[in-house]
Amino acid sequence: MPSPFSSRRDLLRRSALGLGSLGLAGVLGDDQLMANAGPLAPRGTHFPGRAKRVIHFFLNGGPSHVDTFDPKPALQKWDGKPLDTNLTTERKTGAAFASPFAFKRYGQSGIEVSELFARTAEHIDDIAVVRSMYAQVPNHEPSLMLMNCGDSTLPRPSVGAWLLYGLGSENQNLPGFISMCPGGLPIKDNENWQSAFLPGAFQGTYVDSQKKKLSELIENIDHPQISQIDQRRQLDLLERWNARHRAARNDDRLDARIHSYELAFRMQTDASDAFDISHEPESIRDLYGSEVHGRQTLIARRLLERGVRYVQLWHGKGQPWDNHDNIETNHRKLAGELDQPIAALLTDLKQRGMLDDTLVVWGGEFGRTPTVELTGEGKSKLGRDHNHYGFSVWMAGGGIKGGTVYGSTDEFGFKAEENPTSVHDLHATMLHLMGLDHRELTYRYAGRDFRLTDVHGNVIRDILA
Amino acid sequence: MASWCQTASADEKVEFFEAQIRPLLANQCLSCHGSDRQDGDIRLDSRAAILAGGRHGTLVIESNATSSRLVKAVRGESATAAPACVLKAPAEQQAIALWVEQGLSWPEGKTITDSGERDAATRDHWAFQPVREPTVPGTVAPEKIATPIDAFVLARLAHNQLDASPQADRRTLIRRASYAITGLPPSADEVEQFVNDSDPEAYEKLIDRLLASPHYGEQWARHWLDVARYSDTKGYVYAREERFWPHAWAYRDWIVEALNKDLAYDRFLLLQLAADQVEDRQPQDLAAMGFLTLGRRFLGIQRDIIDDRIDVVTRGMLGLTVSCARCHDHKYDPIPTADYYSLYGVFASSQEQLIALGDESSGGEAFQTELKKRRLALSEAMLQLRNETSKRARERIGDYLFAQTELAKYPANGFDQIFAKDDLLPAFVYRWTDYLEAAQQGNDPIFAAWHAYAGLPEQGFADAAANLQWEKTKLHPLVAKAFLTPPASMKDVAERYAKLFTDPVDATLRRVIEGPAAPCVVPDQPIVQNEVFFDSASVTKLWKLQGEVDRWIISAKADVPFALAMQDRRQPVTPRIFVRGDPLKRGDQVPRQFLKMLSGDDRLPFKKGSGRLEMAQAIIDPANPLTARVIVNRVWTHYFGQGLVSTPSDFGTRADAPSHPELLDWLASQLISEGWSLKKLHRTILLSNTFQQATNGPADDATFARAKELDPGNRLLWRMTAQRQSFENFRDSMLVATGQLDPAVGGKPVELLKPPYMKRRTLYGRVDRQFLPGLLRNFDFANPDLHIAQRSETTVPQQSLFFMNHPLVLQRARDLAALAEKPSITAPERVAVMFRQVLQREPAHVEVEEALNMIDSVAPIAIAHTPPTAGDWQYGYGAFNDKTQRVSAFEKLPHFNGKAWQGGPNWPDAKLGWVQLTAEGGHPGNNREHGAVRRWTAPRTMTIDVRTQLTHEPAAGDGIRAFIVSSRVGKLAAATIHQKNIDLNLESFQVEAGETIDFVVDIGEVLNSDQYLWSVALSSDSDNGENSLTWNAETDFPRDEAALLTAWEQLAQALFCSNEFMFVD
Repeated sequence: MPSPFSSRRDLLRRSALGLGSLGLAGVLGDDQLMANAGPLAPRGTHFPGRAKRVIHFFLNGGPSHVDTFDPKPALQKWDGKPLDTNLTTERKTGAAFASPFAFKRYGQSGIEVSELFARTAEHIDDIAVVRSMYAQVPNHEPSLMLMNCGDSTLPRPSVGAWLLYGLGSENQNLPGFISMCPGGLPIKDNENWQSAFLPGAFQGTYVDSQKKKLSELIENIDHPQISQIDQRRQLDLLERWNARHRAARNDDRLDARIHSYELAFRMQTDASDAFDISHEPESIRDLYGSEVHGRQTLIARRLLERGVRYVQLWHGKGQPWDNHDNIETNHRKLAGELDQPIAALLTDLKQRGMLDDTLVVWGGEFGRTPTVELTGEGKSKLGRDHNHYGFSVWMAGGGIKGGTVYGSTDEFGFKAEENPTSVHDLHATMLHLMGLDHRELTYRYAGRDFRLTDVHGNVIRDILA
Repeated sequence: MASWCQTASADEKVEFFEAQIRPLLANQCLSCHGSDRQDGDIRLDSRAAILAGGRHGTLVIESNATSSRLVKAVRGESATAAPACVLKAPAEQQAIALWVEQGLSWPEGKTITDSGERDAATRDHWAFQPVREPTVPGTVAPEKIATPIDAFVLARLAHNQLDASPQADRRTLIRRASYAITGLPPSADEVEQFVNDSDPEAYEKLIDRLLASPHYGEQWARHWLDVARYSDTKGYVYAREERFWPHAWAYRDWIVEALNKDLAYDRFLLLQLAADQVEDRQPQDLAAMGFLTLGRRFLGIQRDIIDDRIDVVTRGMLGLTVSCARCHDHKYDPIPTADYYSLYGVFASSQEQLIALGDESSGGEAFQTELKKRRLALSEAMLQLRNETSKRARERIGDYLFAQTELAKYPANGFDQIFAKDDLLPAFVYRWTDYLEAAQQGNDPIFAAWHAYAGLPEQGFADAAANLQWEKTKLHPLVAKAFLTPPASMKDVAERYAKLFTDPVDATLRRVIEGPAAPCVVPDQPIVQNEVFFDSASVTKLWKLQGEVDRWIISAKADVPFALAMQDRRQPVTPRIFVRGDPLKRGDQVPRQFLKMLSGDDRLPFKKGSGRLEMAQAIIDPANPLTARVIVNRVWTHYFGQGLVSTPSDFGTRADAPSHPELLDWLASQLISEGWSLKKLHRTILLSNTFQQATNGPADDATFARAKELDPGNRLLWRMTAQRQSFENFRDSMLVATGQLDPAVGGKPVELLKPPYMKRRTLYGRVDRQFLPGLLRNFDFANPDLHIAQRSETTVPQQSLFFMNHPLVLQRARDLAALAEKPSITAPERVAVMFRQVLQREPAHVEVEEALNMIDSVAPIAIAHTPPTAGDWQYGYGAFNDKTQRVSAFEKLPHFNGKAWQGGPNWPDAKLGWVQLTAEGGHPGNNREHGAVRRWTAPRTMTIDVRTQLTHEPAAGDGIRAFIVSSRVGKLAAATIHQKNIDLNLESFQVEAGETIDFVVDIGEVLNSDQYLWSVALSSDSDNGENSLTWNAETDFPRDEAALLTAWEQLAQALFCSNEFMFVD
């Protein structure tokens, strides 16, 4: 299948808006920008980007890096013995706790991945693993905010909101930034995809992917009390009235609102089409699997294909990956739900030629301790506590040098040691791949030019293709 | 230009440098090319540095200015320069070019410094100058002037060879004024009356009537609530704290009332900042301090709560972005970091208190008794835990002292770790740090030994300690005694002190560990402020008790108002700068005092308590150049869509100059001289011709085109700008149109977007900042997490989807159509009623015609909905019989409610229980005898394909069983599912005429969360010469004709969707 974006259309919009028309808001004034082109109209990049869209698997709760993408043989050796560390985390932990999962080398690159993500690992040569991430504190709430919005506590726009602000969306008939989470909201709720001081049009649209009826997936997408023919006729009448009203006035904002009814009318059908995976051939549906994560991943691919800029896929309500106890059972179950859909997506994107310009991001808000968590009485819970000192994320696709490992944690996986990589670095890299300079993508609010990366962030050059 | 260069004297050149170049370099260049940073190895703070060039070579070519890299950079023509190098104004670019051309004149040997220059450059900034009372321009013909505003505006227009637009017609004026003042439309009758009123003072009377309406206070309260980041909830608070505010609505009501009674604006601010210290306050005025206390909770982190308060006060009242100085001196305005922390100290020295505003009887006796009980439980537990915890902290003085030698181990306050009772708490560790520092500064005789030993190196500590010489007389005798022999290590020192403090008899020693300022005593504060001093279990316990109190108040049946006021702490805090905003990098102490830039050279520290009252007084001081300007500009912004100053909450040096500086000052000085009366300010604006202009601009095309070209943004006000309705205003207007608005003022918040839809003004809808509906943000509702200076105005399809599909709009459409339906009313008259209700005008002839055309074309369609295949389905219940593999005891469900077949009007039905069938799925009955059965009967013998998809979503319960059963051959497919979806399909199945296929669902082992979705489609082959047929359970399901919108209702909805409804001219 050809790329979903006709190069001609891209060309047209670039010449219409001009390359580097970013920070446009500063020149035109936000309101003018919004009124003239619509807040989601596609905008140019700072420089040619390698990726056009992002899909972010968010393993909320914090997946253990030493059980997935950061093998630590030393833990086997020291299993059950105390480690010499003074790093404090949220709760008390005890001795070293060897991973119960087997690691194996995959692909040409021979990168080691645990059995939990064996199918994903088949794609390791398209993946760059960053093993030296660090966050700021060992608690979910601030770390979720940091990973999603670049600041632990203050209300700041999320990555997706910044991308929409910077780039707009390629499809005006669908929301440009969609966060799916089956069964309910993750911890911190809508804050994870907030637009904060950016206009509300840039916030993420939440979709409970457990639901199946379109009207429950997207707010106000239809109402059953009118037929499509009647609604069309109703809108035709409205258009006539609005046209007459407009003709007597000199105000561009009126055109934008007239136009938005047409977009909305089209959205009703386009959205229902995008979310309906029954249009996919059975082979593709089988590839992803019929469980909820397979379904939401396949929906995500359909959305990306249609030009949605940023899709975030959460594992589930609350914080499923927060396995303080029985990590072997719990992580196995959770990874079992994700491994097939992720591998399917990578295969699917590749065969459609979309992997080249789709950035796939995988990670949680932090990792987990290499030491075992203890009960109040000092007994092992067979699980791991939060660890913000060191953890892994990986990226694949658009502009990423596959088969790469960047950075490392210490011998046991407690702390980022070689090339420590901040969340700001990760964000800077994501923006860079999308053709945006994180230092230049700014928004004037409260007397300051705000950035996603505040005053921090360096692009991780070593993982760029 | 060239001639000026050649002829300018040296003095003139220096003057030019001082006036034009120095401010440019200081403000725009030195942050990247000054003493701190030298991007591209370029420095621009001295002539020599500029001539030295940078990494890419020279910067200036004096003989050829236009080729100089410096000039190219500021013009955006340099390939190597950053985009930030480009100067915005062409005049600035030109100034640099001119300066290069004339030889970079520079005062002898001087370097310009970043901050010093900034002070100089900002000293002259317009907003920081005293408010003057400008003379009203006398150049304008008096007949064109309704209020002095017009003189200012017309003078500016004339100066630009422009003129104002003609007055709008009366119909437009009454609609404009009603919306602007009250947020509500006039009634059609009021419009007619006003249009036909021959009284020359009709407009003035209209304005006075509207300003006297209680709805004025509501509309303008909402504007202020944007400033105050109003929310009825706290934001994310973990699970332990009650997430609803007990007091927010009382604050909102206080604002409405204050505005309605035209409380002087200076007092309006004073009470919001320091009502607790205003002697002649009314009891309910304490509610005003909600302004400070209803911000987000920021996970309980005090420094962020305080930052939010500093921000809302300084941006909201002063138009200053003081929060920018949290990490470093303000980049553009003269606000040093020290000033930020001076204000920080004011808030750190204040604490919250929950105060009942009603008297002892409010809420009734039962309410009061239980409230007392809960408050007592809280205060007793607090006292007990404070004592226990303080005792533990006292017993571990040795450990807390030793912790001072390894501070890196202890994170800043905030929820980082779960603490057991035997853990050292970082809050106490840092309390000791502060205490010891103060002791050192005060040459305290008790800790002199500690500080002496702490200064020694770790290596060879014992030797150094033995050799330590000091005047022992400076030591407290007991301390001297404890250190008669030299200590071996700091651990040893800490332990000796610990011993001294174990049940000391000596009074001076006792004072260290007891009393409110002691470093091992939990301060007497509400839990939100002192929680850092407790272990995790105690924190949870105290929050639970605090929650009991809050919940009792929140759930009270009556509106019992409470204030979350502030009061000064007994021991005010002397704040410390957090270097780069990092609470672990503790810089200098600063006094609590007001901003330097607004205090002059004789600034004195605050004297009274926290200093909050003094801060408030400084803000409302008539000599304060910002306060009055900021509020008149806010009011102006709401009327004209843009302010005289385009950044209503930033009057700093980066703000654009006002479009009408004299007018701004005139309005500000009038406000003050008129006793800070906001209503008088409103009146002056509303009665001006400027406000009464038409939106369309000059009538003749040429004049219009010129105005549009010269001033496309309408900054000079040559016409009025139409206002797009806020979410609040259009929702309220719909209710007015249907005659349903409940005009009651005040009270507890009500659910806004869930049925049954409330009929009160949107102002009273609950604002839940943590779960703010995406819908509200889509309509640019102010984000309640942040102070919002001005709402954005965006147009996105989600807004249109709301108007097209949201039940709230549909309900209003039905109600409007019902209102217009009267006995013996003609169709055109019905159309006219709707127009009057929604747009307050008669429809034009052509509009009636169009409307009736649509009505005619809709009517027959509504009947043709039922597909011919619908008759092949039956909706009932029965049991799947395991033995016979058939469905037994099938009975039709007796009741159809328009959406579902079920046992009766109530669901669950008393007899048949939960069993129900809808278009998309259904719910099984309470036991397996009452499975939900969707029955299809084959109309003829044929071969069919069956494609179905079954979904069970809820996690609760144990799921459902499903069967597809043929009356002829029995069970065809079956599944048991829980939280899953599966396909159940049949290929090429032969059915005989009259055979039934049942789609049966019954419960799993238990009745719990068993609702399901089951899409079912059957299709016949087209063999035997018959046409292929398809059945679809969803579309074949009976439609409730009554639920469909009638043609008239569709028409009503279209009116609500119209731009004329949404934009007020």
